[in-house]
Amino acid sequence: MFKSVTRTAIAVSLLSLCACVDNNYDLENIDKTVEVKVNDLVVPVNLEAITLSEIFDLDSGSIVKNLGDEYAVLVNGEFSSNAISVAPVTIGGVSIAPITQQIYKYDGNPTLPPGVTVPVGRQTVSYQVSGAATPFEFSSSAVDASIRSISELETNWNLTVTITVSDPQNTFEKFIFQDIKLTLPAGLAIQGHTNQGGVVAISDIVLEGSAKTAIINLPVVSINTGAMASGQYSFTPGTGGGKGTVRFKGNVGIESALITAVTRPDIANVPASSSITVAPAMSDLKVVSFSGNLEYQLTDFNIPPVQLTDLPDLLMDAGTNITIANPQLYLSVNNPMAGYSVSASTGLTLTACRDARPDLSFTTDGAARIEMGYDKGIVGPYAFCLAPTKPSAYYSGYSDASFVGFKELANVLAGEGLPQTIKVGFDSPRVGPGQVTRFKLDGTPLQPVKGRYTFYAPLALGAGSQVVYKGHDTGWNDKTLDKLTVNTLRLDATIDNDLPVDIELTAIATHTRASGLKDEVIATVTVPSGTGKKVEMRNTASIVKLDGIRYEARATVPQDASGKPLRPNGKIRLSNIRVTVGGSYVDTLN
Amino acid sequence: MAAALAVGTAGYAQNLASGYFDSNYMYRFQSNPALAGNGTFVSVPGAGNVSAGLQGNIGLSHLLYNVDGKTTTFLNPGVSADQVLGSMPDKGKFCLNSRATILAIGAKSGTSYTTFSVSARANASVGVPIDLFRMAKQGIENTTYDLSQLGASGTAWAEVSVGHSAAVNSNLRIGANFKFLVGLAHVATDIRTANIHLRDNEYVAEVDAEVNTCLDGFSYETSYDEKNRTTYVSGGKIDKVSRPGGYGAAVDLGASYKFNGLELSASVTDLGFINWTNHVVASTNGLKSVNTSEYTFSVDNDDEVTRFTDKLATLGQLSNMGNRGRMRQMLNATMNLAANYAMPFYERLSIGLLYTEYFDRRFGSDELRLIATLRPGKCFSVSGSAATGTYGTRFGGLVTLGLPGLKVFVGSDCIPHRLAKAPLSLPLNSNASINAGVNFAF
Repeated sequence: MFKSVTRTAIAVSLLSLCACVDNNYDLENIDKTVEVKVNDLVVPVNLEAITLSEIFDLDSGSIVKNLGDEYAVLVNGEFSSNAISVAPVTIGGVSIAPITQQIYKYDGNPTLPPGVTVPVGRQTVSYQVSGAATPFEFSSSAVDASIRSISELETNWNLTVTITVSDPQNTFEKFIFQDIKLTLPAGLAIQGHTNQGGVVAISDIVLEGSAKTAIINLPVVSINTGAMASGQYSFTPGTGGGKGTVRFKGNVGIESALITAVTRPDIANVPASSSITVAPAMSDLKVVSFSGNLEYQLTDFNIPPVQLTDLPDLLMDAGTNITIANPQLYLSVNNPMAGYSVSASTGLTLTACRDARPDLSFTTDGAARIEMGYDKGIVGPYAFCLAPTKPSAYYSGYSDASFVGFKELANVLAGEGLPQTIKVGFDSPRVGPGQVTRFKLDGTPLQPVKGRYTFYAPLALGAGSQVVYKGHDTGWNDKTLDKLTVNTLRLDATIDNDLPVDIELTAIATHTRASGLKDEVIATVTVPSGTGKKVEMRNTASIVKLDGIRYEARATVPQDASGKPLRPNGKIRLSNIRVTVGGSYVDTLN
Repeated sequence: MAAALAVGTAGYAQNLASGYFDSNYMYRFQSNPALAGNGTFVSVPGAGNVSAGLQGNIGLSHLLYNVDGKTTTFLNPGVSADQVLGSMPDKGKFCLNSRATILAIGAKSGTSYTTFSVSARANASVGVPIDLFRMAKQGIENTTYDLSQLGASGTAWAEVSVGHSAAVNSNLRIGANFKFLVGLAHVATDIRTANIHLRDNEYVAEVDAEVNTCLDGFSYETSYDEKNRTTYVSGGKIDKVSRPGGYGAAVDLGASYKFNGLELSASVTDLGFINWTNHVVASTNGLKSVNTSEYTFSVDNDDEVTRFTDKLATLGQLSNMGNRGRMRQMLNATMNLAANYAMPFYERLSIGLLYTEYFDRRFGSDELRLIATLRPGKCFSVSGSAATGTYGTRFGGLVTLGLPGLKVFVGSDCIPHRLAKAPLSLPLNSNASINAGVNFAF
């Protein structure tokens, strides 16, 4: 008994020390497939209202600017012409044929000039000179085209009249020229003398010893073309940018004079006649300034084409019909000719260039020119606002602008998408025509016409316009995402849309090409402008082999919102957002 | 030396239940001081009674399943959530216990029995939130996940025990162990709240937790979080250990009553405390929470996301609450209630029931163990046991051998009884223990 109980107990005890093997657990061959599930998990999300400024996401270089309470195409720039430069005028001097005239004894008893005495033992004789003049003519065909007429020239010009008395026997030891009156074209102002209708009186001249020749210098300081007799002056302004021609002609010589000769002591017979030779000469005529009419065509005066680049893609879409309620082009210009009381003016044409479409040009109402006056001096500035209608307030920096109607400006940006380029052309920009007084022609250029511009166009969308914004975030797929199955993907939210557009949102799940699966529209929802609505977006089938999301926002402008400005603080507010996600992830652990 | 043993060796803090009714097992006075040994003994220093045990209520059998003849994990789609969660306990827990009796003496004198022992003991417990398995298996959904079960605690101490038992009369015997305790270290997390509320309209994460550390020379290191402008505990350091972490006292009380072959016994052990002297605390300093409804995100900048994630990071940041000086830690007592009946046909064979409850607010456990003990003589005894309780079904056993002048025993209350298929024959549950000892017997 003792032994059997003992043995049995020992056996039972030892058995209790021995474990059993459960073949259901094979740790060397474990199926490592695991599944992690998400059971329609509702994810609450508080999201800030999405403002239009966040959708536009403007680059700093974009011409569309967020101006705080509106979006506007805003382009600033500067422009400048070449320097105003009227070419100097120089008329080359010409040779004038001398004239020799016989002079005869004057029977009168002329009075010698004070201080002139006749020594004892000498004889005097006087000769009368009259009409000893010779013709001349000179011209230039290099007058700057901007000179349209000439009333007066300020000149740097010398005329010389050389008078030689014939004395072949050396009879005389002194000649006294008295009452000299020279013949010149009327209008020539001689420094130190007075031109009385073409006659210039010259002071008495005394030649002593062997001198037989008197030289009279006549510095011509100006030419009054209006005072010149018919035929003495002509001016043909240049045409088509060509040079003008100025021409002068007339007679120069002695109108009248009395020559008293004093004989040597040993002369018994005084000749009853003699002769003189009058030989005029001239230097080149340099025009220092001119008075008259000037019209200067500005050259190289333009604004570089405005490239409408770095725009939000959605504004470039062909379906986007941009309208601009009252676009405004501001100009601020100087007037270098204001000192001569001459205005400047220009026409303006804007040309919208779109790829694969004809260019469209627009100009001011009635092709009106922009007139820069001269009342503000050279610096000015002379500011202008070109717009379809005069705005209630001018853009900053142009507060004293003058308004110029430009109804077609509204159409520059209108159309299917914004143009790629806007060409800004100044039409026939010019200074004058206007009367200038003593306009310097010394070759020193005047300042260029220059200034700055601002194109300011608040953006609005026309009825029926569609702004389509497409984006994608793909390339997600990898071995991990291949193991994900999304059964439920639902977005519940209240969407308030205070933008001036109806909004249609579409989300599309994309798959890898290799999967052979078609992209699936997860959801589409439309929220009319100015309304709020609860929306539910959800998938209709399980999403597998996900590679990313494509999304499309289509904004359509309803009729009653046409022309309403796009405001950066316009909002799409998503509230009460609940994202419900359900699915599973199945993987095999390594 | 005691510290080294406590930390570095595996001891078995819980006493060997399978030997509770075996008088050849000389260390049952540690379970019930009224139960005397059957002779005088002196332990081989450091080897008189060495034990180590791991107990857990989640094992491989909770994590692995067989689907269509193949072993797979609980996350396999072929394993239902009900199947997994139905087998899971309400609260997951693991306890690691060790005890090393450095020196023990037991002396029998007439009907009285006197013991003296020096032991090093250590307990460590870890809690595992079952909601983690619920989240992983059922799928993430709009509900509340309670992670407050997540936590750990550990205590290491040495004890010097003097015990005495005596027969009051022919039936009743009582005994007590008086223990002087030397605390070495204590660390405990107290996670009062750790919830993730995934509600339809808001997600809320909240935590209220505290970490208590008692160790001489220990202090927390802190860093400054510039984003949240907070100072948080980033680590700890021990400057110098110059003395034990604390001192305490405990008592084990026991009684047994025999009549007509039936022996009833009861005991309560580890009724006592340790007064720790360097109690440093790191805490969330109240309930911290992050609520998604307080954040409004934007489509074009991540500032709010950053603010949210920064705030979320603060949930794991604890503030250094400083040194609070002394802390009295009550020991986790163990209660034993037992009945043992000697077979009338062979009184050296007995069948007994032992109910054991380990008192702990978070990691408490109980078990009812049926024990068969055969003790043919002083030189040999053997017992086998089966238990059910917090840690599931467990089997144990004990063999004692008496050699001339020497007594050897080896036993276990948790013999791995279900193993996976060879060659990786790991236990399918997480219960295992070993007790062994060599003692001089007189």
